[in-house]
This record gives sequence, structure tokens and C-alpha cells, in this order.
Amino acid sequence: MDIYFNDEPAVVADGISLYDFLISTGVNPERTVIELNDELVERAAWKETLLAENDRVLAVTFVGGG
Amino acid sequence: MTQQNILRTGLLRYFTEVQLERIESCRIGIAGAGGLGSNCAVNLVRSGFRQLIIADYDRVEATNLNRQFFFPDQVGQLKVEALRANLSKLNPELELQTFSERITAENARRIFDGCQVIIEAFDQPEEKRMLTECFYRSEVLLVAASGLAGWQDADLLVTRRIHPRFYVVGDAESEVSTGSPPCAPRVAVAAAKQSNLVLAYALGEL
Repeated sequence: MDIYFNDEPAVVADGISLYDFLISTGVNPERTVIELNDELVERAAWKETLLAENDRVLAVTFVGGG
Repeated sequence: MTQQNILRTGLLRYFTEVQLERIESCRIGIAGAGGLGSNCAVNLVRSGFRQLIIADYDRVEATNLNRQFFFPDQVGQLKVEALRANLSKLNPELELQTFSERITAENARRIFDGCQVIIEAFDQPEEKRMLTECFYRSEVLLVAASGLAGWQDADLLVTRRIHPRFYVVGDAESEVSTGSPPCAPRVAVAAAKQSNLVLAYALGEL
């Protein structure tokens, strides 16, 4: 099915969880905040959140330094 | 406000009384008093902000002096206390609250109670993520930073608007590591861009 990841089209398996999708993209969960369709998804809910057609996933990953 | 406040007298050359009162009435939280936080604090105080809450549990070290708003004779002091001393020289009438405890998901809302804006100024990415999650759904304007190490083109540090209450400044890539240390120029650019967002917000133009 088709979704958007960071505003770019992406094709993913039907019914994939948000967590499995994010791991497949290589993001580091400990350093990343996820928005799904403009709402924050707590990390605890990533595994139970299933993606649907045309979902918009936005990942903001932080790097160290300050 | 007394007439002895020389900073304020000077600021009225650049701001109207109404503008300055808007700035002065805005309460800003700064999470971390290192390279980003100490430089944001001085930018904001110079811009007229008076109400600050600054939290950091760390002490000033020699390795901080390359980019943080501290001085050699302050090595060993709590960063929040050293910063209080330095900022008070600029404006002796600050309403500055400091916390020298580690900020966690449990205490962040209590520490920054009443803030309209929170500046994420941590060093560790996990802490940046934690603070972002804490304030993501709130009414607070959250201004974070990510990617500022080294000495690559400073124009790569951009201001990214994630949504109307969440901005991230930086190049999103340059992590502090061996060979890519945090240096004054890029850290100052990131802190200045964070501070500029806060100033625009206080003046109703963000």
C-alpha cells in the first residue's frame, strides 16, 4: 500500500506496524519523535499502531550536541 | 522598572514600549545551560526578556569554555548559578528561576510551569526526544536544535517548522563526535536562530 514518509511517497506491506516500518527505514527509536497524520505517536504505541493507505508518517530524529 | 536599568534604556532605542513590554511579559524555559542554552539565554536577555526558567544539573568545565557563556573563574560552579551571575550583569532585574536537577519526563512540566516557550538545549539526543514528547501536544512553543557540530558551512543550519508549535534548528546531521566537535561558531548560530524564533514569537510575528 502507499503511504508518505517525510513527505515522500513510500510503498509498504499491507497492515505493517508503525514500529516495523520505522525499523525498516533505519531510524533510531530512542532518538526519534514520530507524527502520524499530524498527531504525535508515543513510542509505547508504535508496535500496536498499524499503518493504513495514504497515512503520513513524519520522523524527527535528533543528533547529539548542544 | 528602575531608571538604573541601563540595558532597558538602551533597548528602548530599538523597541517601542509596547514591544518591550510584550517581550518582558513572555516567560521562557531553557532546558539545558550548555552551548545552546547559555547562548540562548544571553541572546534573550540582551533582547529584553526578563522571565526565564533555566534548568541544568551540570557544572562548568574547562571543555565548556570554547562555546558556552562562562568564564575560566567559573569552572566548578553550577552552570545555572554561573549563568545567573553573568546574565544579572546585563540585567539586574531578571526574574530568573533556576533548577539544578536533571530534567525528566516526570518533572519537566512542573519545572517549566507557566512558560509560553521552551527552548530545547540538551546535548544528548535521547533527552531532546524526551523533552519534545513532553511538550508536543501542549500549547507551548517548542524550539529544539539538532545538528550543529563541526565547522561545515554554517548556512546549512536551517530553521525547520515541523508544525506551528514545534521548530527544529540545525542541519539535522552533524552529530558531535571525535573529529566533529562542538565549536563556538556553529553552536552560536544554532542558539541565535533558536533565540530569533522566540523574539519573533514574542513580538507576534511567528
